[in-house]
Amino acid sequence: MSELSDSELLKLFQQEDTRHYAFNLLVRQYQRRLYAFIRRMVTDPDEAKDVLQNTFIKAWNGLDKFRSDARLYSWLYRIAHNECLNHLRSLKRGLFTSHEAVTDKLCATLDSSEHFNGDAIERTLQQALMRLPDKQRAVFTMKYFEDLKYEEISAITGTSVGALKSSYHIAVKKIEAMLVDQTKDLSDRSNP
Amino acid sequence: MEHTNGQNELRDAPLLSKLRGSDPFVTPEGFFERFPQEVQQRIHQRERAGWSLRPAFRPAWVVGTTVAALVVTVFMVLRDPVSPVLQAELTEEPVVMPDELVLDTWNADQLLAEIASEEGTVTGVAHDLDTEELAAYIEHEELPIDLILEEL
Repeated sequence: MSELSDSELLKLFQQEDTRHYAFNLLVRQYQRRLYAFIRRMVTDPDEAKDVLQNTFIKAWNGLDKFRSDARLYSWLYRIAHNECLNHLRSLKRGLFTSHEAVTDKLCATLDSSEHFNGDAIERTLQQALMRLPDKQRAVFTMKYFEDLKYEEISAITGTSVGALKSSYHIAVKKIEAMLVDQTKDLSDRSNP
Repeated sequence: MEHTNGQNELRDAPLLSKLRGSDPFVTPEGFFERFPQEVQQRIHQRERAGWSLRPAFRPAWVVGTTVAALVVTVFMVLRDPVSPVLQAELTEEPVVMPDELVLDTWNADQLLAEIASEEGTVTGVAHDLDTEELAAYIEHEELPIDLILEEL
């Protein structure tokens, strides 16, 4: 199915008889990219699905007011980003829920081969990601996995480019250090 | 997808450079085929239900639980005899906050200077950011103080 441009989608959406058809196209056009981002943030597939659904429902509610001077993809990404942060905040809201408990929960999915089929080093990467602060993880995911420009990430997160560069720089160093440790562990185990 | 934009940041991270492009998460089979329809169904359901937050429709137990939680929270706060905030409220005298509680009013430069002056306080990964970049990072993350110290 060939993709429609933002303006074509919006034009179809604004007409009553093609609104649902346009929205269906919008979902099909952007669901994979948004799901990939959300999944890296919350790891659990059921929770990722809920967050993705909430993202598109908010998009449905807000599309009438969408300003066409912005890119539709950035706007959707912004909603997904905020929904992820809200979801992660809700996980931490329990009276007896520690930060470590939430991180362990996020990492638990990585131990299940049903949901994760990466090797040891990829698992370490994802575990390291889960240990980053939520906003930093979002920035890292958008930059490292999605290769978005800092200006695009700034529009999505509402954070300055300078702060984003700092955040990403620190995240890269932290994660690389964890990967180096893991590689060393694996090497020591295979060559005792 | 071109990665030239991020290549410079990864020049000192060879392992991360190698892993770029990997996606080890397993998506449930047929997920993307079913998902658009599921979203549309939810939208239809909400439109039919006429999504409402009027108090008359709010279950009584939700209100009761909320009130109970508020009462417990207030009780727990009032029980603490050494809270300087409570002390100020009760005595209406200015309370001298311990040094560790004043940190919230410091700006990022003050915090960095304090950290740098204490030997052995800085832990974690060494960084080569200048003060401005580090300050921007601290502001962005809105981290609590103990996590900032851990981050640095």
